[in-house]
Amino acid sequence: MFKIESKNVDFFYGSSQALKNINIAIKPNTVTALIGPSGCGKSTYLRLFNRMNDLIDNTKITGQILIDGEDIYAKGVNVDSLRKKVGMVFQKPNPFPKTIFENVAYGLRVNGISDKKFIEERVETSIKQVALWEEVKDKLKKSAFELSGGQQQRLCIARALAIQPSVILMDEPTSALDPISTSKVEELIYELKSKYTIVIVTHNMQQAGRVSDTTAFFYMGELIEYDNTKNIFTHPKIERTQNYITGRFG
Amino acid sequence: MMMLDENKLAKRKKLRQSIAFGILSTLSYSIIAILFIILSFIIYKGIGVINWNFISQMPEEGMTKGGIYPAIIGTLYLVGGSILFAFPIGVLAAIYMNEYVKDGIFKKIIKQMTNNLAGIPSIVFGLFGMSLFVNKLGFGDSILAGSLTLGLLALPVVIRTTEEALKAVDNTFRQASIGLGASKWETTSKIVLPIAFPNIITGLILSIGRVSGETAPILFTVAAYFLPKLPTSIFDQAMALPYHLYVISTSGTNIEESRPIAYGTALVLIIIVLIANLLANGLRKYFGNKVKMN
Amino acid sequence: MSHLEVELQQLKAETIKMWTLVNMQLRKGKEALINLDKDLAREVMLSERRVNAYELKLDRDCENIFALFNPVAVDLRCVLAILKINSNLERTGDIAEGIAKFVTNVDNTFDKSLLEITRVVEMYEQAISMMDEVLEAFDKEDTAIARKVFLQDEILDEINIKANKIIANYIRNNTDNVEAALYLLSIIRKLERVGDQSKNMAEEIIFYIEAKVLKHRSVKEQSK
Repeated sequence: MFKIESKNVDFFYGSSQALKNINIAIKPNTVTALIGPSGCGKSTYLRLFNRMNDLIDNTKITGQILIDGEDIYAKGVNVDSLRKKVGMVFQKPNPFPKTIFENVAYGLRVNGISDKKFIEERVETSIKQVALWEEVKDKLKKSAFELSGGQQQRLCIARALAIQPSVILMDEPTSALDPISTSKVEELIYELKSKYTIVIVTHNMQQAGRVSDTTAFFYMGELIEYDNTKNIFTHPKIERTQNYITGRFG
Repeated sequence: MMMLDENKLAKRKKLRQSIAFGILSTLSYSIIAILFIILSFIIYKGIGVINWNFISQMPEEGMTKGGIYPAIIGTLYLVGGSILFAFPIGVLAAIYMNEYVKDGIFKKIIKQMTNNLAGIPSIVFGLFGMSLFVNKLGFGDSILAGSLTLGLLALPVVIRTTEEALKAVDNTFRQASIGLGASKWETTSKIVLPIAFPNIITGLILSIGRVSGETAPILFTVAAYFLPKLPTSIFDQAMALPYHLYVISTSGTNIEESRPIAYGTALVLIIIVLIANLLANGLRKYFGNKVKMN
Repeated sequence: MSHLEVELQQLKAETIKMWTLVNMQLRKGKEALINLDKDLAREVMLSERRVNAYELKLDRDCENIFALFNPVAVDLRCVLAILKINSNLERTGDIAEGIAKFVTNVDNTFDKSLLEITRVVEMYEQAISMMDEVLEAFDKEDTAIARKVFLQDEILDEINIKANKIIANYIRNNTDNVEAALYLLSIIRKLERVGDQSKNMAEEIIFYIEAKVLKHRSVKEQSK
């Protein structure tokens, strides 16, 4: 049983086709890295999994994306509950203009949870999950903007975890972070794997190697190669993949 | 040889740099200088008449003596009233435009209209206000009619600055909120607006500046030529500083005699605008600190 | 523990497993030699396949760690050392297999007195203890233990050098048992190679832990 399946997915911005016939099947509790040069469609593809592209006008998708066996683009799908199931972390740390506590509680509150004790417990476990608790437990009422960039990004991950998704999408989650914060987030991804299915877009080839189990290489809107990360990084089958990961082209 | 050439080059670069820098700084200093000259001219001419009585007394003897108290109060009412009208409508309109309307012809048309509205001369607003609020709706010459007219004038400024402020909010904030299952309105009200707020306040500052100095729109809608009493309701006429200034320097009973009062009035108007700006600036800083980005 | 540390620990554990298997081969080979137990010798030869499988797996694991984690400094030296130790172990396994082959091939029994005068059993035990010690050094990441093998290797060399004359004498006096004597000389040669392999591995361990290159130095310098 696959966690996420993508069948013959095409995606259009207006009349230009951004993704061409993408077929991928992702196993649960794995990390999948989407790599490829800028504009290859990997971020667009990632955003299909929580229907974030719905927010952009004049877009169209054909084909199927199944999460837990259900077509998330079928008619009558509750997008809000889909988004609860599929958390997202962005390129730049983007905590809300709220306190540290309220940032993590936000997802619970907008989903109608008001039990104070429940929220407190969930916020604490979520922050602990991202190994941030010791650093912030004494300043939960302070603004999230007082944290460092790396801490903010971990807070954003905690914010996504609070509503207990089963899939986490990460769009270049470390590209705005320093090396030490980056390796902390990478370790976190490695640990979170046991509970979640993670899909990560990254420009950093080494990062894809370090954190992922499978890697998908995109080029000009097409899926060029999809395989175990070990295979991709030691003996890719397709020359274009090899050229890309060895830095021989863009 | 090589060394010498490099030294020469460095010298030439330095010279060019100081010339460019000199021109630019002269220009900016001259702007400051002009402002300074105007201000000091008005302060010099007007400071003599300013005292407690001047700002707290009614005008007397055909405005050649006495204070400008009702004009100050009238201006405050008008500024407050117009902001009360323009700010919520403008902000809501901008939110609707930026957050809800899809890109397309409709949005383009509304945008163009807003821009056109900003370009209309203020006297036209005055005439429009008179025919709609004063006559058609029967408000008469009143603070209500004047505030609404001034509000219309301020509306495009508020809409445009609010829109810019909303646009400046990184899209990932919206996506993060919606990604957590929040609705569009929750996202807008709880996340986007607080982040945009400091910049929206800038719009408020600009519109206060614009509204408090306008004469033409209040000419036919509210302003009283000479009214030595305070307004008691929004349907009363009122005096206003810019109009008062206009009157006593063009058509007073004794223009020469009331000249110092004119300068005093100008000074008070400038000070009021200044205070309003400082206040709004403080507000902006306060909210800005609350949502400070890294 | 970081992801890379976990991977390295697994790699080390695999290496130790392979190492233990190779040492076991040597031990069984010794028993087979002393008792001329051809069944045991055949068992040693069969287990060579498992050693080869380990070698391939460790090679691939090292390749993956290089490709996926880009290790640096001590981590890099660790993987490099294991890569080389891996091939040393595989050769040692080959040697154990070779000795076992001689034991199965020999027709007559090995003369007990010949075993004694050539000190081959002592040599065998010495070689095994060197292998055990280097393994211990690797497991505990202790270079002091690794350094001990350089001196021990001299005993192997001494026995090896003397063996020529002893065997030659023996052959002159026991012309009916030449084949067994020649096999024994080959075994002594092979045991000498085991000593060399363990020395190489000790060098790799010191390189990995202390970042010192000890290759191509004299014994005195090495054991410092």
